[in-house]
Amino acid sequence: MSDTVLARPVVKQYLRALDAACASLPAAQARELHELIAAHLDETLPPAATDAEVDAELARLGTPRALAADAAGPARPPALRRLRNRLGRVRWWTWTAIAVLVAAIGTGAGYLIAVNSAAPLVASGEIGWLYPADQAVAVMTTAGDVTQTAVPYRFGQRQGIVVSLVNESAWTQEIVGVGPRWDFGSLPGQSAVTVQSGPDLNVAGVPAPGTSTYYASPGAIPPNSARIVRLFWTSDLCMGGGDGGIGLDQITLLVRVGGITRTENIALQDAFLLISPKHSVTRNCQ
Amino acid sequence: MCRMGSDPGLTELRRGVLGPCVLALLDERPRFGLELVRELAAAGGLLTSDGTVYPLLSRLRDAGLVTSEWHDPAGERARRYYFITDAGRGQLKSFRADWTDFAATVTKVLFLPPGTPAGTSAQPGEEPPDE
Repeated sequence: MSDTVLARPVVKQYLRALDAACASLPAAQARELHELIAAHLDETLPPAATDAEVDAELARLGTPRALAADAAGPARPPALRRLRNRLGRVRWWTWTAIAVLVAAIGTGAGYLIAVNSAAPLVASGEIGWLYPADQAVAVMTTAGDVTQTAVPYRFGQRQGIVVSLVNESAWTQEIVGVGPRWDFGSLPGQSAVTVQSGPDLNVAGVPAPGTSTYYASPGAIPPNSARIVRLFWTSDLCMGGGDGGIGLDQITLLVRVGGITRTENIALQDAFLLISPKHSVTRNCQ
Repeated sequence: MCRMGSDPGLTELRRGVLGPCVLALLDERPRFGLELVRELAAAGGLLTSDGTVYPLLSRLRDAGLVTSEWHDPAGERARRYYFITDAGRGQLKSFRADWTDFAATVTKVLFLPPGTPAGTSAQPGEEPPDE
């Protein structure tokens, strides 16, 4: 058996209830009341007191709520003071944890805002069609300010374009794929994008003498730099004779910026046009 | 020792007089909390519960009417002793004067003979006449 009655569960529970009831009191006052009540119990009850004796002494003391009400006095403290008292008993390490958490959230929010405010990629100029089969038959037309290059639609074959994109932001932007609403290639996995890469490319994407470039997916465009980007797909859309064609005046890419992947719609300076042949095969028509 | 009832009005009355009673005991000599509880309980009818004294001591100290300090004599239990301050003595003196008049007035009104206008008869402490 313990040498003090304060170790009894019922006494501990009583003192805990007292602490809870005194939560709105100034911390020093609540601490002193706890100390006085504990001293009272320790002195009035011998360690070997029976449960009945302990219960009777607790009853003589009154309920924790009544003691707390007495300590508060006739008029309860205003809500603001009660709140201040409650906050006053929050331990320093709790405040430290809160401060760290707020700083982390603020830093994270600032980071996300900075990432999302990074300028999207822009097209600086179109290079042309990716495959020689298309480039050889491409027809360039200009109407007003609009220039477009047109090639026949080659159903079931790979077709693609080459464009130059500029990253005008201070963040590295990594192109990880084509966007979810790609105009060509209705089947998943049929479209792809690669980015000019190399060990010594300058901001314009020009390799250092004696070095080579290659195309990678995913591929990164450093801050304030330009890179050539290839987009290609398997042309499998149903375009029967007389449908005209499909124009491509913007591309949609999935771009990772600072750990965040976002969709960027990039307007092209000139348009690419896939013209339906007069007697196309319509195997993919529903 | 006597125990008064648990009427709410009586409870409020006890609360009102308990502070001056504690000051009066401390004016005699410094005491520790449990000592005050035991003496007030022995006086009878002043405590609604033994624990009432402790919050009161805390409030009296906040009001500057008492001070407290720990005494830890060798071989004995450490206890917090309470001392009355000059402000406490001033308040006790004022209460004693007010209480004499107040108690006399209450007694006079409570035991007023039937049909007698208040303030014209019955002396303080006078027993009511037998009907």
